Amino acid sequence: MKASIARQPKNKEPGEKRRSPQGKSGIWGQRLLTAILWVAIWEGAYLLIGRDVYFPSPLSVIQNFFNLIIDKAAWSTIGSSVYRTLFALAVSALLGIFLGIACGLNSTLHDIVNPLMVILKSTPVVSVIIIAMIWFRSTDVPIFAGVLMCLPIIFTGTVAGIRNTDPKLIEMCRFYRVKRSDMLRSLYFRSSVPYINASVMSSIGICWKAVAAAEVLSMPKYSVGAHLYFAKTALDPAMLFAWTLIIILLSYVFETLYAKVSGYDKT
Amino acid sequence: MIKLENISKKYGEKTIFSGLNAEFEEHKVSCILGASGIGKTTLINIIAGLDSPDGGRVVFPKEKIFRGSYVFQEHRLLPWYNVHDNLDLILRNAPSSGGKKRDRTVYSKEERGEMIRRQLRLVGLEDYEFAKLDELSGGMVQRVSLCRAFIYPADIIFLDEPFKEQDPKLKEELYDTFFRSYENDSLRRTVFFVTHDIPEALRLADFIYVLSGSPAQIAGNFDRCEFDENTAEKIKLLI
Repeated sequence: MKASIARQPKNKEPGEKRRSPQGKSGIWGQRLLTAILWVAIWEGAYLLIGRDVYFPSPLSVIQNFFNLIIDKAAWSTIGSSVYRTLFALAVSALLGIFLGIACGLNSTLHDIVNPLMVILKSTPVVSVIIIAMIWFRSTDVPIFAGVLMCLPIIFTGTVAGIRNTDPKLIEMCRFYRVKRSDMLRSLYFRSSVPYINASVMSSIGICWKAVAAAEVLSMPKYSVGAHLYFAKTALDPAMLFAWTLIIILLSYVFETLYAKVSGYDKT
Repeated sequence: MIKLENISKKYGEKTIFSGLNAEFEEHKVSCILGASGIGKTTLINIIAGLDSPDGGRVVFPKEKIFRGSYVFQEHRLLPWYNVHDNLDLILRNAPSSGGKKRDRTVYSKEERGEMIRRQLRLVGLEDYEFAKLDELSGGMVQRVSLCRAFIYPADIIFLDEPFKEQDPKLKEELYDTFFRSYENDSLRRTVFFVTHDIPEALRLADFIYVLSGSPAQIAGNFDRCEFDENTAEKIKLLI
């Protein structure tokens, strides 16, 4: 009896996703219509400009895109860029969360580390890449650039999460003499998770941009960025757009996967 | 006896207590009753060590170090944990005997599991051991918070208006949870609870201490043995 009362669905669950009254097929229909609208605008712009070398047609970009998809060599290129991006994200997440927790709990440490993060946030990505080209091998430059671009975002998010931990819960844990290590794991870290997730989500797109830009300049053998450069020198904007489309799609897939795994609500 | 000696406390310009003295019996339910804003919560926070007085001191019996548990006005349970994990959090950090300060002899996992199941069974929440908090009603969540206070090996249990703003049916449920936990408590621990609700105080307390005036003083105290049909009226006059 009690169970049935307690487990009745409430009007609005905290984690409940917004559902469109149209249903799933309606949403996909709407998305398809939106895509068609944008492709039509693109085609219109292409016809207006009228020169492939400046602005390619959507058809030629899609054709190039599918040619890349079925090309084995393109996959090893994509794989290398994916590896660099994932590695950069993992390093910046680990470092950002670790430093963020430490600095969120210790204001002196925060005062020491934060200026560095402020500088990193404002440093142009191209400066980071050029410096990294002096220090590292071409394959490592994109990883370094990705880490430096994402680290301050994840760090800032984690610090905000730690500092926004409910003081009443802190008081409760202190009153019950919960050990500091347990408080860190059960309270501080858990209450920072939404902030960390939001910052990692923002970092995914930024990391792809930073890695691609660094690849264009440092030209590792297997890299999407190098192919962007080749497409530019070959005056092949359709290919350039196709590689760009691959980066956009990969970034979207990464974001979607992360949101699924972490339970983050993208809406 | 737990004694308050010459307690004084100020918040800014406002003097809450000035030379307040009181004595509370151990192993009894002592209720601090008074109007809203009089300083009831401040007083039990001073006794609990959550707040420090500007002057005076709280004297506990000398033979041991006192350890408390607290039921706050809000449940203060970790929302990302289920019922079991919330209770386990404080148990795995608790000493197994109310012993010395640095005695961190924690309960084993099996012991903790058994303690949690026993306490939840006692208050009829055994089916919700692994339920998330958002699957429970507000009253059930507050009952879990009461369970947490009773399951912890404390010498004193502090309750800061835990039944406030609950509808009458839920209040009955919570009173029932309190009585079941208290009656089955082998340690017969000292309980301090704060309320502004006279019928609630008459129902739960062994002793009622009425706080009134500015700065607040103990305007009167009532022993359960002396409760009669006029007690509520006498308390009203003091408030």
